Amino acid sequence: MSHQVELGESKARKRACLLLLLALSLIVSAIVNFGNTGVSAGARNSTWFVLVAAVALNLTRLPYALPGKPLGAILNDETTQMFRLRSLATGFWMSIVATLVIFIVTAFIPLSGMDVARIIVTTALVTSLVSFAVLELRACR
Amino acid sequence: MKLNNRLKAERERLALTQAALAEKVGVSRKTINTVENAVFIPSTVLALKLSKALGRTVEELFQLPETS
Repeated sequence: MSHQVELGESKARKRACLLLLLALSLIVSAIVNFGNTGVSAGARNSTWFVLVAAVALNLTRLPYALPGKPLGAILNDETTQMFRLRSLATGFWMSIVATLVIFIVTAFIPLSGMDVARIIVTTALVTSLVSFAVLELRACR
Repeated sequence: MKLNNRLKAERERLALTQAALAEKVGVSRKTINTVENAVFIPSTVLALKLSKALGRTVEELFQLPETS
């Protein structure tokens, strides 16, 4: 197998695994921060914002854009772009579903604005990450 | 939408592996695989690159399915 393509495939697999790990860390973060951990709310929220920014960045082409290098083109080729678009659309629709579920749930259980935001953002990002990773891993087989 | 293609036949005619063709065109092997299996419809740019790499015209590589 040619070197660049082989390297690109290996990096694409690693990227998919990283996305799954990020999804897991988001879920853990959402669960841990949902209750009172005893840490000040400001610090907790700052950590969560940083995590969300890091995760969202991994759903763009920026971390893997290597201008002028063949590997950058292989890591962001047309199939990857299609998978990324599909996964972002999945995340969008799941965030709508989460919002509707919260709309119903809050009629019975009051939730804070921060918790609602956390649930919606986590749902959108986790479904996008998992969807992208699964599409990539399935295509790499 | 479906697009028939002769990519696999033309690639095998030149004794190229999917990885070798991917290298020539500058895409990943999964892109070649998904195009061959008609899972993914390539852009005009990629279709032109594939036709150049395989020495065939775009029309020889890709055809719209016959409508009855």
